[in-house]
Amino acid sequence: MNTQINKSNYDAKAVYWLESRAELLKTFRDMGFTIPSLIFPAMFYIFFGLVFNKSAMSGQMPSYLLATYGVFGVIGPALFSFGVGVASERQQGWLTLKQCTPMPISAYFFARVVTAQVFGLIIVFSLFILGAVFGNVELTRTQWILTLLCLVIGSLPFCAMGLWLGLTLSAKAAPATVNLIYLPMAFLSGLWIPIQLFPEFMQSLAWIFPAFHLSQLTLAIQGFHLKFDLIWHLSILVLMTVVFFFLAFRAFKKMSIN
Amino acid sequence: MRTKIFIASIFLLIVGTVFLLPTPGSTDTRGAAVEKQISGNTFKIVNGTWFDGERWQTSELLIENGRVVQAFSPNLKTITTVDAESQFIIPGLIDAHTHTWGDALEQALKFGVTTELDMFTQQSFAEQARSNRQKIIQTDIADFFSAGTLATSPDGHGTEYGFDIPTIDSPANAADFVQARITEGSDYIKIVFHHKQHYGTFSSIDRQTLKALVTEAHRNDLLAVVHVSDLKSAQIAVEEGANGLVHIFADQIIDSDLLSLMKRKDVFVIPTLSVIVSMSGNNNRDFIQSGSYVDQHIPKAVRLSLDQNLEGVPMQNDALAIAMTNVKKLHQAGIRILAGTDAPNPGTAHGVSMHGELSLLVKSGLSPVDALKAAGINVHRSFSIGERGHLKPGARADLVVLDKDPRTSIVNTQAISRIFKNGYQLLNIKKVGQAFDKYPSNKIADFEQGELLSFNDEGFYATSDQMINGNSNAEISLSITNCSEQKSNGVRVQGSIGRKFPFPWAGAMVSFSEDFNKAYSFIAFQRLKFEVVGNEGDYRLMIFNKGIQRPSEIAFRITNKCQTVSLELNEHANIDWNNIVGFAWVAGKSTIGEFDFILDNIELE
Repeated sequence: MNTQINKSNYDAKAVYWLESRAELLKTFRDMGFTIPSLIFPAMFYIFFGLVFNKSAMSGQMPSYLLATYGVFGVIGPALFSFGVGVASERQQGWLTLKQCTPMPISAYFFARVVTAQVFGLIIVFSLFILGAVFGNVELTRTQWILTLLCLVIGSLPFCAMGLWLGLTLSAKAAPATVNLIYLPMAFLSGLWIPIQLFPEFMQSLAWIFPAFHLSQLTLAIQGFHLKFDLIWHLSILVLMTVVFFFLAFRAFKKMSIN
Repeated sequence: MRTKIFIASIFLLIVGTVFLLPTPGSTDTRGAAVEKQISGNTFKIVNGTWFDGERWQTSELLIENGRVVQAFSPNLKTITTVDAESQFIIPGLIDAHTHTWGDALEQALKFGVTTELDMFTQQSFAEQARSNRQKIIQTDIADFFSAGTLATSPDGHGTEYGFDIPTIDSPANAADFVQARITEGSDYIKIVFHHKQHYGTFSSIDRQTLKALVTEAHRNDLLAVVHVSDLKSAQIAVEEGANGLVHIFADQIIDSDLLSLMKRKDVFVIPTLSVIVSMSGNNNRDFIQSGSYVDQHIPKAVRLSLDQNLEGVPMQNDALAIAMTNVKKLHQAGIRILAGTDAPNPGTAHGVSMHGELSLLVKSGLSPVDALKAAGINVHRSFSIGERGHLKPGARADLVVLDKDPRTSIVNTQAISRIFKNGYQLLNIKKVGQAFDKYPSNKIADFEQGELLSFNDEGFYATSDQMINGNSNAEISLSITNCSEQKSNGVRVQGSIGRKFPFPWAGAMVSFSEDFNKAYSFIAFQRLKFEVVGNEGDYRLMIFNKGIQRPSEIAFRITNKCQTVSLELNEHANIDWNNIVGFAWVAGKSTIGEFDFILDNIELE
């Protein structure tokens, strides 16, 4: 398997590729993680988008919820893979071991980003297919592609957020804490129920959640957003990503010193 | 190498799937530049010819956030372009006389009517429907303005619809009456008036009460519009200060005195020729252009309902001709004509009939452009309905894109290509044949549980013409029948048929929901069977369709011997079996006096 890594000249590409592949395989074999993260978004979408509200909004509900459950779907693996995964591997000492190997530690994080995005991709495609087949969702090709890109790239802020959580929380506390953030944030950001249906103050409250901003960007592709200037959502999202990365970086340094 | 192939094939799989995902149908032949579906309510329409309410324009029509603008705000980056090459854009049609409830506003919008001015509906509906019109949001219903409860005398026109309404019988109560309407949110006051205090089965408020109501409405800055059906009443209404008449009278040709009085007082008229067509016994269906958008989108039940007429209302044979002459004279005298249908009276339907009304106005002597004004700018100038009815800067982007030029023929308003409400394109418009769920059981009821319920838990109840001021009555109860060897429960229907209402009925009814909105399809069934025994005579099965006021009917006979009536559904092709909301088994005109029968084992095959 690792013929390449033994080459005398250090092959950075191979390191990143092999670490990512290993991480992916490991994650896929962890059924306790794979099944819920792949099934839940699809299941929720089927219930709320295809069974109960299919004809709402002049039949556009499946199309609307495709965007918001897409966001829900991609942030799950990002938060859990980092938040819970990193926390437990840190506690087990596995992260320290990785740091001791010649592999640059960035490969470890890169592999997790790749894993989160591959999961995100599978979830997004499962929603696309469900929406197209059962929800009569019709988007222009550009809209399909933009939605896909927006969701996959949009998982990055949540990787950063998860990383910070994973580096600061204990392995025991992590699953509960991440869930406590993930589910309320998803609801309050309007991922389950269109934000337009919320009372005014809850709509304002949503601005503190990155998921809200990502959902607005994704919805804007179909024109369903709340009609705020998109640059706001984009800059807030970028800013949040930077802040979370900074916090994670600080936590990582602190951890390394200890 | 293997991994490269693996990655490449994953990539291909992703790309392939994306290309298999459905995109909006590309039936449009005008090239790839055309956006078939516009999302969002900011865009521009280029290459089209558009009617701003008064003049035809060929410049770009700019829509920003659901309103027509002179120029886009400078910070707008991407603006969708709609190519309307050889297309015509008119302001969304306004129906200035409707009675609106249920899904009427959805029906209306589907046919390009973006605003309805209701002239009397139930307060509960009005309150809820009014609240939707403020926001510029994506919606699939037309905007709604309403008089709320009309002003009529205790036995006046308006009291016959089966629900209690406040009435007025003296000028002293006018202030309170108008105040109560204002509290309820009425957008204008509608008054029913006849110069005789008693006419037909109705009574009317007197002239002093009319005057007091008009004065009170004006004191509160509300319009007072008056329902009249004859020249003399119209004359009085105008003299007492009515802002508008909501029907044209059809008893006599208008005289020049009244014409000049109306001109001087700037009174407008909503002729509602559509309902005069059905009142004079004509059918209202001929206006539909075969193959047009309207033709393709009108549900069968609605199409059939256009054949119904209001024959119960006595009218002279030449009523329609008189009405149309009056419209012509009013128009020539420069009096504002507003298009209104009086939907959903028999022979009319929300949305669809607006196209018929426009044709009738043109037949009466208006030019097609004048007819468009009657459904647009004239309403805008008469009622306070905000920036609706035109497409000048600031107007709501309620518009209809037509494939054919409405200036050359008014029937071209039926060639609808797209409808925009609040700047949002109305999408997913269902064509005909939209199916409701199949009725969930092949037995409707056998009453063996000892309750007056169907297998689907729908209640049976008595119905009669008392709800529209008739004097027939009915009672229903559980009873034992001896039809089969074992005794079984059936529903016994007893009552009497009176002569007060010209088309009397009384009997037993089952509806699939209280509000008559739940419809089932019966198309999968071959026949409807039921057992009856009772007083000999001719009875009728009434079949109620969703959104249609008047039921279809099938006659059957009852004798004093038990028998099973079996009705072949496909022998009654003039009934839309696709959207039934209820059935009634009734006695009628041919059995004046007492009747008594037992109904049992209602089944479908």
